[in-house]
Amino acid sequence: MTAPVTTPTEKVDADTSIDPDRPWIVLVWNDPINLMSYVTHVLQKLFGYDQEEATKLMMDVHEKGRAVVSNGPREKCELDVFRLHEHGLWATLSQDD
Amino acid sequence: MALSFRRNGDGSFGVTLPLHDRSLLEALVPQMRELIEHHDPDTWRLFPNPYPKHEKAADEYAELIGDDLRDGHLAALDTVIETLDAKRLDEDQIVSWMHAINHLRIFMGTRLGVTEESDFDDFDTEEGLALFEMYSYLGHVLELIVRAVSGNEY
Repeated sequence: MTAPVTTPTEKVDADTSIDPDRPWIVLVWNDPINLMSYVTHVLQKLFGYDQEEATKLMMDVHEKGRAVVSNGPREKCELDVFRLHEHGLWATLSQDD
Repeated sequence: MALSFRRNGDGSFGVTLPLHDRSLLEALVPQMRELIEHHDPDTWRLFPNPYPKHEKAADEYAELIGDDLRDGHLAALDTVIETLDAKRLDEDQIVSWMHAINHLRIFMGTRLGVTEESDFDDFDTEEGLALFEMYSYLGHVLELIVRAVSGNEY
């Protein structure tokens, strides 16, 4: 969508601990390939956002380098990430902090 | 007849695929299949690490999903080949087209190292130019499919 600002691969740290009680978030990262219209559509389709909400999230990804698109228990977030990967979006999950 | 995708009243999608476009997809899609099957390094973007900060969790996730993501990518490509001559696609089929074409773009964009500002001037080899031309063309095809599937107006 725009020139990459921060990418997940630049942030590989040592393993940090996973706290079972903290909620998880799903992040979509900016990439220079995916079309803005496509990203908006995928967010609407997978998470039920309307076009306006999905466009706002897409613009956050575009301008800030990433956006939180969903959250919840780890298993649900893993499924969300999988579906985003099926669609070719660059998604990761992490614990809310 | 120009390339077009449109939603029909019954929820299916009408397709007009001129011969030139059909030939290009017929050539590219099987190549993409091979690249994925042979784990070409430039396909890495189709398999992102969901846990860049948790090596153990990343390993567990990889074990959990097994070949599911790979198989899904391949199945989308197969659907395009099987329906290249279809005048009408159902919703699942056009979504497979959308995925397959985006996967091709992601592969080509990764191989070319594109940025948001990339333009024809940035590629000075014949191969690079040809690839960027296909990448741009597939962006156009994807845009048409997204417009038909999403119904979004811009």
